[in-house]
Order: sequence, then C-alpha cells, then structure tokens
Amino acid sequence: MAQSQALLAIHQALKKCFRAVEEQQEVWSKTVPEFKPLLGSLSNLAEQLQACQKVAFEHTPLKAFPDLQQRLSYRLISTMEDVMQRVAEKMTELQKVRDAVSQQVAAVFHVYMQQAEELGVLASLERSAVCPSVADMLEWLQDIERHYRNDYLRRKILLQVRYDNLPEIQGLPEVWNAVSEQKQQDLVHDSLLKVSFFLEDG
Amino acid sequence: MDERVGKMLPLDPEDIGTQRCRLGPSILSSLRIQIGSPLRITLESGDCLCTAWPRKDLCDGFIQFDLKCASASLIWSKLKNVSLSSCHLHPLACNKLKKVRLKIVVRTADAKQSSHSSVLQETVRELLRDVYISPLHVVSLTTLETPVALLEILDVDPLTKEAGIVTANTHVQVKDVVTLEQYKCVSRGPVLSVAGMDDLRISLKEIIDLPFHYPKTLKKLGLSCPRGVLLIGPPGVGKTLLVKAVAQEAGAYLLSINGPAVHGSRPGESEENVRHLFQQAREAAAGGPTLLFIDEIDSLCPRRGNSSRAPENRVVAQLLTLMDGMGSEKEIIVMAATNRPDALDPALRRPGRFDREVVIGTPTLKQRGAILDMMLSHMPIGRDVELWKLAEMTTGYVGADLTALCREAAMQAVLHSCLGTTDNSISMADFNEAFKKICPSSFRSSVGLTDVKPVSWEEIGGLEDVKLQLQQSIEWPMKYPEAFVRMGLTPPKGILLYGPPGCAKTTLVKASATSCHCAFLSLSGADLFSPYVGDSEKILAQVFRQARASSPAILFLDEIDSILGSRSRGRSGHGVQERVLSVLLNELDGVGIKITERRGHKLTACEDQEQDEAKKVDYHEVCNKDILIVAATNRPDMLDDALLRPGRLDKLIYIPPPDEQARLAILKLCTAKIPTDSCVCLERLAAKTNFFSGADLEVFCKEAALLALQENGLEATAVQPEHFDRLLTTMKPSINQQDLESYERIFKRQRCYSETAKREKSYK
Repeated sequence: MAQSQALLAIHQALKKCFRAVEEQQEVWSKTVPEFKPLLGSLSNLAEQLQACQKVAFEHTPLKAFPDLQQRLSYRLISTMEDVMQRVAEKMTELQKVRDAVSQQVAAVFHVYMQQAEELGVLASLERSAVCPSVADMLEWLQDIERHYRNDYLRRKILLQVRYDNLPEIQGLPEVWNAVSEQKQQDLVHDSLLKVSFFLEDG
Repeated sequence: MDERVGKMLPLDPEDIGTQRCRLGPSILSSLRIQIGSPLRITLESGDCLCTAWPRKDLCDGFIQFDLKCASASLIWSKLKNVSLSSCHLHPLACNKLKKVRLKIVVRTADAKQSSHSSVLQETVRELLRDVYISPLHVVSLTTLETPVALLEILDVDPLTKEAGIVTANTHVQVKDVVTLEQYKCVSRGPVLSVAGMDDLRISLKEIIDLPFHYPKTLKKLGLSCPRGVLLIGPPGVGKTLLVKAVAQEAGAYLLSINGPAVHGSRPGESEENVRHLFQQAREAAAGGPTLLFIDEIDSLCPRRGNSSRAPENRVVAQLLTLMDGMGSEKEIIVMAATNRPDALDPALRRPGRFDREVVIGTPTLKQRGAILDMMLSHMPIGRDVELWKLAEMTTGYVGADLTALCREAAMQAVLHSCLGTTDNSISMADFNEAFKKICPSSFRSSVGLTDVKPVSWEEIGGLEDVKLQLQQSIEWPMKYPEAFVRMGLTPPKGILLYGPPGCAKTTLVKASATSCHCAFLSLSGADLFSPYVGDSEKILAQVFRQARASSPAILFLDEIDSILGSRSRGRSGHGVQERVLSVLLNELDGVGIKITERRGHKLTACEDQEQDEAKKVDYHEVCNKDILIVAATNRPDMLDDALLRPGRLDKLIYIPPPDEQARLAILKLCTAKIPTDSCVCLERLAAKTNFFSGADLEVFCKEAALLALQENGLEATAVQPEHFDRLLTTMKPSINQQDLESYERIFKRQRCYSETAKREKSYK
C-alpha cells in the first residue's frame, strides 16, 4: 500500500515538472530566435568598425575633419555596447528558463529521494505502454536539465567576444545558428513526446 | 557477497559526459542503491565516481560507465575486457560541498591568455554543477567545446574521502591554470621515486617553485631567482633521474636537450637547433613552469680555446648568449648535468648562467640504505635479508649499480623458482650471488682494483698479538665507530707493516680486508710507473680519488720501498719516485679534497628519540669518510722520514718471524692437507726450524711431500719423519740473525718512542 502511495507521489511530482518544462521550453524556443537580429546588427557593426580601422583617412577628402577615425570608432563601439547590453538582457531570459527547469528537476529528485526507500528499485523500473518507468523519466529530466545548462553555457561562451577580435564578432550569427541546429536541440521535444500519454492520463 | 556484476561494455554515445553508470536491475537492488546516487567503481588502475542508473534494456550481466570523474591514472589507461564483481562497487554517502579548490587545464595556451580568470571561474562553476567529485580526481570535459579540457580537484571542503556534489552555492577556487599539453607531459608516466637525496630534491624543487608561485614576493624583495643549476657527479648516481623527479613533483614541463642530438652536419645547423630549443622552451613557459634540461652538457659545451674546432666554439657561444638572454622571461629554469665538470667551458660556470652547482657524490651508507629501502619495497624479499647489512656491503655502489644488483638478485630468485622451489621471495643468498656478478661501476676503469681471494684470520698461524693489533687499527674503527667517538679517538690514517720477508704481511692485509666489508684497492709499482712524465703521479692521485669515492676503503701499497724513494738519502729530488712520494704525502695529509669529490650532505643533529640503530648508522657515516692506507715493506729503513710521522703512516706494526709456537701453528696448517705419518712430531720440527719464516715453512712441507713421492714412487701415501729430517739438513732459513737484529732495533726504537710519549703524558 505504501508502495503505491509513494509511486503516486512521485508520479504527481513528475507530471508537475514535465508540465513546467513544457512551458519553459516554449519560452526558450521563443527567445532563441530573438537573438538573430541583434547578432546580425552586431556583426554588421563589427564589419563597419573593421572597415573604419582599415581606411587611411589622410588620403581621402574626409581628411579635413579632425579625429574622424577615433570619433567613428567610438560611435561604433558604443552602439555595439548597446547591442551587447540587449543581448545580455536576452541571455538573462534564457538563464531564467534554465534556473526554473533546474529548480523543478531538483524538486522531483528530492521527492524521489524521500520515497525511494518505500518504492524500491524494482518498482521504479516497471514500465508499461502508456506509462514509462520512474527511472526513465528521471533520466529524461536529468538529460533535459543538462541540455539547458550546456546550451546556455555554450551560448554564453560564444558571446564572450572582445573588440580586438572583430572577425569573431562578425561570424557570430553563423556560429549561433550552428549551435541552434545541433542534434541535441530536439531532446526536450522528444522527451516531452515520450511522456505525452503519461501527462494526458491524469 | 562477491557477486559478479558483469562484463564492461563501452558507453552509449548519449551517455557520454553524464557521469552515469549503467547497471542491471538485480545489481541495483542487491546494492540497495537509489537511482542517481553516487557510486565508486574501483579498478586496478584507479577508481571512478559515477551515479547509478538502470540499463535501458534492463539486462543483467553488463556494466557501462562514464569516466567523467576518475582518478588521473584511470583516464589514460586503456580498459579492455574488464569484468567486474560487486566488490568493485561501493555506494557512497553524498554531501554538498562548500568549497572546491582545483586546477584548470585549458586546451590551448591562447585560451589561457585570452580568458579572464573570473570568467574562467564562472565557466568552471557551471561545468561542475551537479557533478559528483572527490579530491585528487580529474573531471574530464570532452563533450563540451569550452576552453577548459580537464579539471583536477585538489581540495574539497568539507573534506571527505567520499563523494561530494557541487551545488550552486559551492565556492570554486582556482589554484592554477595550465595548458593541456603541459598537463599531459607532467602527469603522464609513472611516478619516479628518488631516495637518499631528499634534501637536494627539496632545495631543487624550491628553486623551481619560488619564481612560479611567489613572483610578487620576490619582486618586492628585489630578488632575482637562480635560474641555472649545474649538477655534477659520477655516472650513475641519478642526476637525470633527480631532475625528472623534481620536474614531475613541481609540475614543471620538462624539455630536454641532448648534447649529441643538437649537432648537425651543416654549418650553423647546431646553433639553429639550440636556438630552436630555447624558443620552444619560451613558448612552453607561457603555459606554466618550464624546465630546460641539458644532459651531458660537457659534450655540448666543451672548453673553448684549446682546440681549433670552430663549429663547437660557435655552439658554446650561442648557448652562452641564449642563457644570458633569458633574463627577461623568468619562467624558465635551466638545469644541466655532467660528470666531467672540468671539461666545461669556464664561462658557463658563473652566476647568471649556472648560478648554483650541486655536487652529487657516490652515495654514502645512509643514502645507500635509503635507495635499497626504496627498491626492495617493491620486491618480495625473504626474512633473512637485512637492509643495513646490504647497505654496508655495497661500498662504492652508485644508484645504478644498486639497481643492477637488485635486478640480478631477482633474476637469481626467478632461476630458483624455475627449478621448482616453492619459495618465491628473494633471499640473502640471492643477493650474495648477485654480488659476485655486479661490481661497482666506478671500479670498472679503476687501476688498483684487485680480485682478492678471501682469507680468514684462522688461515694464518700464530702472530696472535699482531692480528689483534691489526684488528684494532683496521676493523674496529670501521665496525665500531661509536666507541671511537666516545673515547675521543680518531682512527689511524695509515699503517705500515714491516718485518722480514715471507712473514705473512700481505696475507694479514688480505685477511683484514676480508673481515671488514670495505672496498679494497691494491697498488703495485707495475700499475704506477709509466714512460710518460707526470703519468705516475696522476695515476696515484686517481687511485686515491677512486678510493675516496668508495670509502670506507683500504688502499694497500705492497713493497712501498720500491714505489717511493727517500728524499733523505742524499740524492737530489728530481726522480719519479720523489715526485710520487710527494703526491702520496699530500694525499695522506693534504689541505683538503676537491669540491667535486664531495659526498653526502650535512647531517641533521641527532635527536634523542632516535633509536640506537639509527645513531650507529650516523656514526658510521661521519667517521668512515676516510680511507685507510696500509703499506707493507721489508726495508723500513729505506722509507722517508716524513712518511713515518704521526698523521701519515702513524701506526707501525712489526711482524716478527714466527716463534716456536707460531711455527707449530703454521706447520699444523700446512700439513692439514698433506698426509703425514703418525710418528711425525710437529712439535719437534717446530723446535728445530728456528729462523724459518712462514713462507719457508710452507715450502718445507711441500718439499717434504715431494721428497716422499720421489722416494716411495707415485704410490706414496704418507710423509715419513725422515723426509722432514733430511730436508732440515739441506734447507736454509731465509732470515738471518743480522737482519732480525736490525728489524728489532727499529721496533725497539718505536717502542721507546711510544713509552717516552706515555711517560710525558703521565707527567702532565
């Protein structure tokens, strides 16, 4: 009797968590494309800055303007700073998603740890056509959490660019897309599909 | 309990980097472990920290695990066909960590320079989130394309041997950042163990460590650290090993230059190679501590000027300028090793290039003990093997010789076990067998080394008081130095044995060399004299040097009157013999020895708690540094007076011709193998053979046996008394009364000296 109660408690926690993940995934998949225009403009600005640094203004009609090169670079860099600011804001949104998922998953694991003694190992391995085993679902949740964490980290490392490395900034949109097109991106979606019957059940 | 878990399979691709260990359901339930809780897997080559998860297909009999967090040795080892049982798996308790101290290994030197430390720290914290770690384990992060490749966990707080999980609240402290290349170079390979040079190792490590770990302190003090160390020592003492071990211990990147490998055929190629190597070192120094090691530097940097070999001179000049040019980057330490310091260019041996010179001598007794202790700790040795006895026996052996000795002893043991004995351990007999084959390498080119047939004291008849005197002056200082120290005595430096020929002077020395385990060198005129001017003196000095390197040693100079001349004889002192004499006098009682011959290191003061045994060893070490000269002559009046004064050959022992009782003892020994008739009375013979020396008596017995063969044909079975009697009438003793009187005169004079000295002392 105690075993079925424990199972019920864990199932409830799992359902709650998967629903939360579903919501967060929507937020995530909505936020990621929003980076594109920002990164595009960043890349554009980097190209301009690069061009500005290459041109020798003394040989052009613009030589009458004093400190033109410095002024231009200053303008471009401050614009880039603005864009970077907005990118950072977007990143905090992603971070929020990541943290929310982590919190949910941690809660599920906490419930499992509490009930594990009652449930027993073998019961947590039982699976049926409509209901995956507890172990499987825990594994998926852990995978999802790790996926969010790694994805966020990967993107964050990408955005750690320096102004003395302009070609890197210029190439940002392509690299960003490459990250988004990786195979693991479907992981959350797939996992959610796997538990769709289980979620409908209750 | 020892349930079989199953065969190890490679990991599924989707599990890589998840720290999961896939187990069958029955194992999971038998271990009573929760899903996702930490588990330690212990293998032969190391252990690994995982979380327990069921296999997807719920099959038993297989195990898969991810090596995300494993001990360093396991990461590089190849796991194939491993089967595990439940004794390899240990469920662990888990606690949340407050603080982690770690070393970051980045992929490229570029990444190290470009990324800021706080960013790196943040990244690492993210990477370690929810990973189970344990101190001294390495976390590999191969799945993510971050600049960080590996993380070595140095410390955790709270300190635990079990697993700890990194949470969002864990504080990450970065101790060090190194590049992957450097890390691989430093951490791979077996741990090198060096024994007997602990103080040297520590001081060398300090030299490396200081500039790398406390650069600010040094800057504040305005100090520049020593950047060059020259190691000097005979071959085989472990110079190269020491450098390698120190580099490994300090975590420095070791780049070695091999003298001969640098030289190229094209003009200018050698210099280019040297430059290239220094450039390489400079590049490596960006990644962390770098040690540039030049082995056999005498081949790369010979003395300039005395030859017309211009290309080599150019290489020397290039090396000098490169070493000077390193001033700006303080990250490189240059170490060089040589066994011929005199062949080096003097410009190299000054502060700024090689600041410090370290002399590693032939290991002393204590050092040998330490080396043997380290070697034998890996070997199955029998109960009868006494470490200190072995160390005492191996005088003059360097580290390489000791290794060879142990290997040979092990081979002997293998041979025994092949023959079917059950005991697999290495016994003392195996070591004794190995001793016969391995002789110290410093002796291989030695002049005075002789193969002495062991002679025991019992094989010498009579002369009991002379034996006692010899034992007092040779054996006691070597065997019981603590008693000498207690009584404030210094052991004698030299001993002169004199007496009529044939009275067992040489045999006595052999016996004393046999009884105390020390190196025995013997020198005769044939070794010494050569047609070249100055060669004889050089050989003598070399013999002394070798003897000192393998002290305690006995240097035996037989027929010393023929080797040395006497300055007091009136001839002008330009002959070879006079020059040899002056060398000998200097070696016996000179100002000091060369620096390069230094051995051992300063001893720490004995503590009271130390055991008596250790103290005794200390005494041995301190007191037996010198060599003992034993000279023998039958013409003591021919010797130079300077040689006979105290401090040189300070103990004169007169070996008299055997008296009646001694002759009886000698005759007994000589006839032990000759069958004599029962009515032969040895006492009567002893009484009749007055003035016969030991050698005479031996010949006497042999002649008698030969005579018996002659008379009774080849079937003779025993020597009859009349054979002896007949010989007595024909044989003349080799000693006469006159000679004997002259010896006794000297002997009396000696005794007179000592008695007057005694009397003077008693007056005081």
